Amino acid sequence: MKYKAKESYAKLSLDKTYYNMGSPAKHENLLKGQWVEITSPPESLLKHLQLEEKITRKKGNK
Amino acid sequence: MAFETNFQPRSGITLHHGTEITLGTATLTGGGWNTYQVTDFSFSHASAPLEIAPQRTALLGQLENQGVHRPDTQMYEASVTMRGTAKALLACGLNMWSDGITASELKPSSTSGSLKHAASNTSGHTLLFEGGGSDATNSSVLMWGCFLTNLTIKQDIGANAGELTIEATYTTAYKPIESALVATSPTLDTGAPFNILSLSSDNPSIAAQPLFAHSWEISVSRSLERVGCSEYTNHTPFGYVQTSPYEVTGSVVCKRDDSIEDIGASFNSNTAVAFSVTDGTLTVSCPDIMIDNSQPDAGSGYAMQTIPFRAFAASATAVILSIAAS
Repeated sequence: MKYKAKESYAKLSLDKTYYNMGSPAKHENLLKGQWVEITSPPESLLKHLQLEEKITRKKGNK
Repeated sequence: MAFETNFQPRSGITLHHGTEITLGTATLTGGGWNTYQVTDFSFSHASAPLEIAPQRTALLGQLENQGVHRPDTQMYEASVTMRGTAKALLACGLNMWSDGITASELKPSSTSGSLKHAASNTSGHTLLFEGGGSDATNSSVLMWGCFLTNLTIKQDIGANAGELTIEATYTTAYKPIESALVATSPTLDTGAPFNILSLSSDNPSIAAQPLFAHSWEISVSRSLERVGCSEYTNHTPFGYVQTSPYEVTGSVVCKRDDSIEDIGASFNSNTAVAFSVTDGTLTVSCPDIMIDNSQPDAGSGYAMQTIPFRAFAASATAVILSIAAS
């Protein structure tokens, strides 16, 4: 699933971000405002991340 | 003087991977240590090539003062083969392209972080070969500031009981030392290695066509060069520079059947297609590969096809290689 950082993510201390959790690359990309593929974010970060919503169209709607 | 009595049984050497925080600072005794399921390894000693100064005229013998060791230009290597578990795979992703969280993605913008000596860097690894020291008391070999320059992951139905195998080549410009350091409370990797016999049906695939594969592999390589030498006691480098792009190549060896015909158009038409292999818990995918001179091989009981490929990114922000492992 893809996640984007909320504003609160940037305010976290480095040791509570992906920088120190094993992915400096995800950390950098989140700070750049990019959507990042993360299989299962830790509980502590979930509230600082925004899940990409799938856009589903109803039948007949184009 | 008598022979020294100590020796190093191979089975007595344990490799621990230490997580680093600062480039050039080795993991300490109580630092974060991981012990992956290593099956083979090699490491370096603090040795340096000998350079010979110009020969004086009127002398045909070389003088001792012509010999100069060059540890200031030396790079040291360690090769490690591991059973392919999720933790080991992601540790390699962290070290090589700074992404150790599933799904670990290599993109054109990927780096190993700042490669300047003393800069903050959480991607580097310290390799501690406990029991590998030649000294009777400093019985470990410590290599730090290690980064992968080559990583191969592969599965073969006829080798290693089908297990995913990781072959990793680390390089460092920091001079290895023999040390009494031991890893305190290392985290043992007890995960089960992924196995080709557990692949989901219709896997692997190229261009969504299922291939009955005997083996597949993907390699990522890049070059690192040391930047000079900031002092001449420990020969500490100023850092590293990456002198090549990440090059991702791979191959699939599979049964030659109708799937080959179905993907045949991509063999020679400048067309990129997708490669994917999954068993449900491991997914390795390259969304954009170009096939590089695929040929049949009819040398065994039934005809096979070898499909070499190179992976690219569709754009500057797209994924070259993704490894999702849990």
